[in-house]
Amino acid sequence: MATIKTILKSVLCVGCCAFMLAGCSSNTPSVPTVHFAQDEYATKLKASGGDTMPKVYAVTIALMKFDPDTITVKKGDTVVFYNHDMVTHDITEEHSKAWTSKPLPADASWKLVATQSSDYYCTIHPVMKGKIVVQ
Amino acid sequence: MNMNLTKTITAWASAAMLCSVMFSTSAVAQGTSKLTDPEIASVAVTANQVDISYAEVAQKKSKNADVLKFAQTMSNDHKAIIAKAAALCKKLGVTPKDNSVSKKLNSDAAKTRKMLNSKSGEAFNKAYIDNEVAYHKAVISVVEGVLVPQAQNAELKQLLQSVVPALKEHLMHAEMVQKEFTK
Repeated sequence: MATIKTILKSVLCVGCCAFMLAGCSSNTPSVPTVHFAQDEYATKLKASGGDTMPKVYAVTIALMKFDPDTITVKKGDTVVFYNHDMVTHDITEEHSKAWTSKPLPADASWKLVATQSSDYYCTIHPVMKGKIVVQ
Repeated sequence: MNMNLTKTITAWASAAMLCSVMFSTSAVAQGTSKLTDPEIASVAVTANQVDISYAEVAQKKSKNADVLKFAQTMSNDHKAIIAKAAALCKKLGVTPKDNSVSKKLNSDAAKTRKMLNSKSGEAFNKAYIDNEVAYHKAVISVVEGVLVPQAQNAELKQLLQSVVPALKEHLMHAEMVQKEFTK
């Protein structure tokens, strides 16, 4: 009985694979197994309380500017700062220095999980300013 | 301008240096003697070294936190720019070549350092930061007006252009600190 089950599984599996391959080549709708996987993923996401995954945003530091200088994100999203300048910068919360990247050398990056809206600046070059808006 | 006068009237010292740098570079810009890429590299490196030398004077003489932080930034940033320029020169096989503009920068810098060293306390802080404002204005004018237009190699031209935003930020930063000493 166990052997028959194994054979059946193998046949099903081969069948699935063949069907998937056929799907690729002839543009037929996707196979049921893929649908199952997607449904399961969606169910898990709903159970975790959100319908979107946290996103990752990039802020580039180049030519003595934060680009974009204002970025709007959702709570829990990540903002990655990339220093593409030839000089060292830092990214520091402006009003109470609540958080800081510490000196970020050329070609280095630093990430922040956004929890609240913040004005920030570079303490090394105080003319450089930016803003994170958490919706 | 009478140099003895500028030595005694300190408020004029920075302006005199600005004028002399502008004068020598405008003569160059008028096409009397175009700078070659090795000469441009020398001017660029010298201009950075001069500002590092002013920062070193400030680090010895000042006790003002904003002046010291500014001086540290000047020292670090201008060293980083020199490192980038040196790496590009090595890549391009260019050896920086001394010339009238780089010599003028050095001789003016020696006079300015002498003037700065003769001061102390608040008078020093004001003289240093006034000079930083004037010097960055002069260097921006030289880079934008002479070095960038005359550079032949595209990578050298691009490096010079990419330094301008840093110089402009330094100028604005110096003007922020300057407000402390202008009452």
